Amino acid sequence: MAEREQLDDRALVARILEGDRDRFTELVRRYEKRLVNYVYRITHRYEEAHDLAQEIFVKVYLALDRYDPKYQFSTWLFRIAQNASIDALRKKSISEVSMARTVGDEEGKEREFADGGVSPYRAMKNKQLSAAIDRAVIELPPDYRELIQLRHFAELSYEEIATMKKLPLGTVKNKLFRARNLLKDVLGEFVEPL
Amino acid sequence: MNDACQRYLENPEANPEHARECASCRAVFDALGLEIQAKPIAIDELPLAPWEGAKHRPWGLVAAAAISVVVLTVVFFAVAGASPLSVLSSEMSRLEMMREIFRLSSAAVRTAPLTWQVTIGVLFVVVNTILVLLLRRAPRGIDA
Repeated sequence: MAEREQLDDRALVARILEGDRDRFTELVRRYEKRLVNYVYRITHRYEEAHDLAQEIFVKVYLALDRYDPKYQFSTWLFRIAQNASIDALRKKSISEVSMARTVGDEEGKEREFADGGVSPYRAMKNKQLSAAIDRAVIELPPDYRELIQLRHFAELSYEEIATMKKLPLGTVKNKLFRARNLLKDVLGEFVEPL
Repeated sequence: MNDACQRYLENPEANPEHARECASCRAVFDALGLEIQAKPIAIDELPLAPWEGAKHRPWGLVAAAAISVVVLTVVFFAVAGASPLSVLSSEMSRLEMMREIFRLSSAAVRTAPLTWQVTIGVLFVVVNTILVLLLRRAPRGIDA
């Protein structure tokens, strides 16, 4: 079977709009990991993050004709994801503060993080670190938290975040620096000697 | 926090070597880099989007529709026992004022300076082209 040509996001969207709906799977594969990770970091519910990610992709498909190719597809996708995640939080009346208390206590938490085949000690350490970073991110001021989620969980570039949030690039970098600084202060206990 | 830490936290991509030297900075990025075990998203059956199936109308369809209208008109007149051309000319004969306007307009165009004749000709083509393009315009989203 002939290999499908690799298209960038914009070209892929154009193909889908021309009627090649199977190509949408390629877009899903490109972004599913980042999207689930991002949604999870907002909702803190593992199964719900997957369901919500699926809903977001369907929403994106239905609205694909409204995507403006002047902008990056990723920024459009994650803007929809952000709105959908916040809506889901509101609907379920999930308080991020109350989540902060339960992070790490959640049943079945162990299976949620990729251990990448590391030792049991490292896997346990990762779980603790993961819970700690979740708590620390939740404690951040909302604008810092949002940028950390977009940069580190959605893996958007600084430029994409600046476009998405309509902020100057310098402001994005500066806020991220301050946010990381705050995170560094609370993650001291996880520092391992070199 | 020393200068190296500050530079790294400002721009980790530009200072990757610092992560190997500084455990506390590394802890931050290790934690932020932890990914959840994402299961593949299954979207086997995509719903039909509002923009799907919205395509340019093919020229063949437009021509067929126009021919159908002409054929139906001719059939209608034939059934009524009247020639379409005779009906048209008899109707026109009653519209003397309109005929006069047409006559004066065409005379005015014929006697107008060449520049005006060209302008009128160009406008005729442009207006009709716009009408045709509007009839065949793409549905929203196809050109996005």
